[in-house]
Amino acid sequence: MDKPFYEFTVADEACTFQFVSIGQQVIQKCVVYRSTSLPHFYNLAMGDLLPNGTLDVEVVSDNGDRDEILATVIQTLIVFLDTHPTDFVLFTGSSPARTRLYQILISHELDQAQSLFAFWGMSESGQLVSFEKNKPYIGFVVALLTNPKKL
Amino acid sequence: MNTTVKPTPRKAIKAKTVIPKSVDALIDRKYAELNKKMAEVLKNNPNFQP
Repeated sequence: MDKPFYEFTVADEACTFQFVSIGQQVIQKCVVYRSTSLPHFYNLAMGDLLPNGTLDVEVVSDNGDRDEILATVIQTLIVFLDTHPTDFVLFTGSSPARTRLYQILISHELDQAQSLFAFWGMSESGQLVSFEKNKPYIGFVVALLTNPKKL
Repeated sequence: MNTTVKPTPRKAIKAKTVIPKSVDALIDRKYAELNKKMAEVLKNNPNFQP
């Protein structure tokens, strides 16, 4: 949570964030928190903003700045949950490998992040449990520790 | 690269980012199974109070 991240802009009641990834290429990125049919739950999506104004959420940029991008997403999460303190973010990777990467990232950040966030992991069988290191999950839920709602 | 966040004040941004319907559909597809499982969790968890 203390790693370098890109400056970003905030819009749409802190549901849309934009920043510029500077690696081998310069890429306009967008992070979107999208409401779901589940009350108080949002899905997280990130993609490249294309010149025609659309968002490519399936692209793998491989721009050489993965750590900075992930650190930036964490910062958007902080701003989002600060603005939506009673909401939850449900997210997964765009592929099993990406989901595994998020799991590793959460594991690395867990000790420090636990003072601010509560994390849960969704098992393959659909069980939602408190996040534990070195356990496989298909998705994750994060909320502010101070969220009055409990899972 | 900046190492500090300077989020633009939300009120200063008038324009709404337009997320195309096609992207909405992609996000829906990506999260369909996970949201369904989450709905089951919420259904079976009496402690959750939305």
